[in-house]
Amino acid sequence: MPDSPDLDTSPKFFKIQGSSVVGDSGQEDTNHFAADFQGLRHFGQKIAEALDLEGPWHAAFREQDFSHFWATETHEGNSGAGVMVAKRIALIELFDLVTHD
Amino acid sequence: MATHIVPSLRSALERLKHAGAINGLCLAWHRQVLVNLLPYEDFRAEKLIHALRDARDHFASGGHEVETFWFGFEGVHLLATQHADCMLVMLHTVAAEVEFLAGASATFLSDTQLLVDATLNPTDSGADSHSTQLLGAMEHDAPSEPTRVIL
Repeated sequence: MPDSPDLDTSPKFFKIQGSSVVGDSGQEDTNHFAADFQGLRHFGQKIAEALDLEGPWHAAFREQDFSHFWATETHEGNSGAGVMVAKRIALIELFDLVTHD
Repeated sequence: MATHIVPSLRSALERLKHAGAINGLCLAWHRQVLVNLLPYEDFRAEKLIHALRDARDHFASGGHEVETFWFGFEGVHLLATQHADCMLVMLHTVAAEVEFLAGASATFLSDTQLLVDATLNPTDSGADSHSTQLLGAMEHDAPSEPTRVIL
């Protein structure tokens, strides 16, 4: 199905600095990313507890028309980063975008 | 339900375990663990499924219909794929395999859901159930005597 002409399907990048999320694509997008980031981190921690592991260093979710990914270990060292896209994107592509580029 | 379908699912999962660098698998229906092939005890698998179901519900309340979760832990990745009532969790070690494993999971879950539906609703199974009929229900016009052909 072709994308809606009004829908921005470009990747939106964010930085995770300590307890704050910083983005260039506006307050609404940053709030949106931060809420999903917190949700994934919370449930990632629950999963880690269930399996007796340390907390997650990356996490993602994907639906039919949306993809979200973040990692706390990136090419920039300890500074975390993330991306969200209004499209179904290959998870490994998001992984490479955030952790390698 | 589980006792009917678990043996065939278990053998299919055992084969799927060789699809990549997979450390373990867990198949669940709603919050019930059907097959646990994770290197963890059953109570840990149950906690895992509950956490993933909670995550799914949490994101659904925010308008996200999540198909796939993917988490990275020290030395291992966790991929959780969902289809209708079923969820398949994989522990794998090679990040580059994630897309292949997600595709294999989706196919497996689609088949599993059909099996679950057929088990739960045995009289309603099969998309073509209205356009087909049972052989035994057909009227037989054939003669009762067997037909012979002389060569």
